[in-house]
Amino acid sequence: MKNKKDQTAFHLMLAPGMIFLIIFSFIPMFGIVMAFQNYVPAKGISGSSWVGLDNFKFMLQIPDSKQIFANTIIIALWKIVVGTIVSIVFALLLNEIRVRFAKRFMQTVVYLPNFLSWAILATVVMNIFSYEGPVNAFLGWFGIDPVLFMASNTWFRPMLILTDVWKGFGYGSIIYLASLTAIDPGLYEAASMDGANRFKKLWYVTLPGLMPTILLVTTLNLPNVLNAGFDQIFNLYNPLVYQTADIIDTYVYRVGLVERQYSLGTAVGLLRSVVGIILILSANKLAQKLTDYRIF
Amino acid sequence: MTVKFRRTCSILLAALLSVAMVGCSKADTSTTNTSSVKLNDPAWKEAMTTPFGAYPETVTYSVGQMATKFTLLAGSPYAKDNATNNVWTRYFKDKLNVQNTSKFEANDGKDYNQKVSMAIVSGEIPDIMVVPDYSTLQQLYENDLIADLTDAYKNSTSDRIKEIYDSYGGRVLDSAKFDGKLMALPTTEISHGPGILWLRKDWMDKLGLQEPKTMDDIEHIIKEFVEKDPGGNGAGKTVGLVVDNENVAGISGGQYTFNNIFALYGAFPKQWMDDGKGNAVYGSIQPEMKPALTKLSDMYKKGLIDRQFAVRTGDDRKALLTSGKSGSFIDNWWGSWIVADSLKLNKDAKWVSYVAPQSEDGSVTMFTGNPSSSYLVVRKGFEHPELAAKIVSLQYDYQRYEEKDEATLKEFSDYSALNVSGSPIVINIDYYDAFYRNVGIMKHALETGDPSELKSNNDISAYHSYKSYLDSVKSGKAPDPNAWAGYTASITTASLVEKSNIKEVNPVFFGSTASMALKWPTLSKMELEMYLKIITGDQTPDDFDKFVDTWKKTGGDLITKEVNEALAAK
Repeated sequence: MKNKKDQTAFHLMLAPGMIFLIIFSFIPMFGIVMAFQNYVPAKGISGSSWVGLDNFKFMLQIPDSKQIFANTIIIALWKIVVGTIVSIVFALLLNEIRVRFAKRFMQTVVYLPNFLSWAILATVVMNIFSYEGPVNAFLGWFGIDPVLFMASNTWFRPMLILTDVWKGFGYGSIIYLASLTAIDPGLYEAASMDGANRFKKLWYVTLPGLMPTILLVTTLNLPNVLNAGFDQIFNLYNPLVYQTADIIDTYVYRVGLVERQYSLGTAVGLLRSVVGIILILSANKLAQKLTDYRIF
Repeated sequence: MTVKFRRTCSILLAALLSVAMVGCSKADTSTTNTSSVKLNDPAWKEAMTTPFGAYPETVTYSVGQMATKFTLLAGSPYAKDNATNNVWTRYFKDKLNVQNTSKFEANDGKDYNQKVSMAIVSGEIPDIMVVPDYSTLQQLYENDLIADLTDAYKNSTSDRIKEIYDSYGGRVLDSAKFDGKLMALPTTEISHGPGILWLRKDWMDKLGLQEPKTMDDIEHIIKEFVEKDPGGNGAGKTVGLVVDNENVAGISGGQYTFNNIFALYGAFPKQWMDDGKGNAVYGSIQPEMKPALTKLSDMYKKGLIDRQFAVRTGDDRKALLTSGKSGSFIDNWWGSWIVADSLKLNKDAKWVSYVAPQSEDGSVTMFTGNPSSSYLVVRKGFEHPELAAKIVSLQYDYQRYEEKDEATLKEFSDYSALNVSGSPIVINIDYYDAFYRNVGIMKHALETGDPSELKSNNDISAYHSYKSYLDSVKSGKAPDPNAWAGYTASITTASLVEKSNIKEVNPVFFGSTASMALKWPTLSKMELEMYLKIITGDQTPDDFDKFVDTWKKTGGDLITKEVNEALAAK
């Protein structure tokens, strides 16, 4: 912090992001009051009648609500856990590749699915796992009866997790690859001197070196346990798997927007945000304790 | 960070915030009403108070419309037509001097309904649009978003349109009246007729199968289709009955449904039925449902129902049938239009319609639909609410009965020969028995080759299409798929229905009640899951009793009570 003017430039760079945040995240927050009203669009927020906590009470009476919350948390937790492990393992493996071209090539290839939207990928996934798809054809060679993966309450969640991890692990591994380069090469040299083989170096140098990043990323992921991925599920699910795959976001979309129950939809969304902020605060505390890093 | 810098930051943020706020609150400030001024001008007055008078200046209106597949026009002189420039919009421009702009376009059904919901949420509805159900209309009225069309109807609707509405004895028009004001022009729901079973006749012939009558016959035929693979799909690749995953049954005129099978067991899912003692009861929870569901789950187990129906989209369903993967579905009399493309892909493909499964006395029971299912509304504040009435009169009266210009009519019949509609406003206003009303006259005309008895342009254009179909059959040429579809739907199937023993039952309630608003989404979801789970074997038919129990406890009983109160108050 030597020169004030330098800082101004950085803050100006931040401005577009801030404007975006204000317009799309802060201003819409006024709409939260809808959760305590019986909102009627023509009357607006000022004209609609106040109903106190009725929407929340109703939400708890809906037989679906428990199921929807449970689905959201289970799916999101699995995605975080599996996604983190796969990303780390991949980063470690990639780090062991010595041919530079192969390394770059692999990195680009696994990074690609991240750029495709779920609207496209959903069709691909549906076809691969359909009755006539390659997966069932493969199972057929071993005499296994075809499984309808996308319409089975047993299989749908694993499919969600699998495809989400597949799409995201290339992107997720970038941060680990970056912190791998930050590990002091002197440590590896010293380990070699002591006669450590590649695996031992991985175990005693690389992993401990990565630990702060792993802890940080994991804690920062905590608030996401209520965010199970609307795009993916909305494009893949069908009524038969509502039981295991209907999450808060898809429910709010169907009931709040399509069936036009604005107030109820807002109430559900608000509850989600409240739990989300509690998680963010505790993640911050946890990150501070474990890695000495503060988000704010 | 210094104090000064913080101040700069806050100022900057505050400035941004205020800019954003201004940006958000700028909407609709200037809608000055010029209509009263225009009424003093005789040319404008003429246009605004008659059905067919043209406006002195072009009037532009935005519209939410059902998507049309203009790609079907490729290769015709109309290949460049689109949603705002096609045979209908040009006709409207020519006759009334009006031009549409498209606010949104979406496929008919779920997609379109979502767009309508979104438009209402954002408070920016198009000047004119069709809303898909009564509860949406009710909500628009309660929210004061739509215009009163009472005067527009009185002045700018043609006599024939009024006559058609009157032929329903008020039950259609009254459904769009709130506090004595007409708030929409309702679709007249012409009789959908009974559900029709469509089968691949060429497959049946190949396997030596007889025409189906009973449920057993149908099961036998589909079983043979699936097991013997007459279409050459490869062993085990032929799919059974194709069915809609979100509307398994219970929609009048629904496509790919099991309505007929439920009706065979006396079950009428999703309908409010009279229990015989004057009380309304919900069809989906009646004991008759259970044997029907048992039958369906049994059929699914045997592979007689598409094993993957739960994950199919509308496009998938159509593709299964047209590509010859499946040879059976239950639909309506116009089901031939769905499979018309299969003739393009395979010239041996031959679909036939049956009124089946029949009960022991040879009859098929159908439930009648809501006399009006969708509504044409005009945004409140739109300067020319009468435009809706004028367009409707032009589209459903003048163009059908009065238009005599050969070139114009040719353009329309070219369009319909390619199965493209194009009109920005898709409702229908026609006589209740429209679909079999003219079959006799039409058949007579086709036999004698003299179309002079036919009254409407639609009928005359249809006559030429049917004639060309019959000629091509006579000369042994491959018929045009769309001509085939039209003839098969409106002549073959319509006469079949006319001859058949059809029983109609009338549901007693179509509206919505206070508690429905909050509880219906949950109940419908529960019901839909129940169908899919029981049919696919995820649950046993005995779980139906559990569903009934939960349904009642979760608000079903309360809603039933409200429905009965609403009926008593009528």
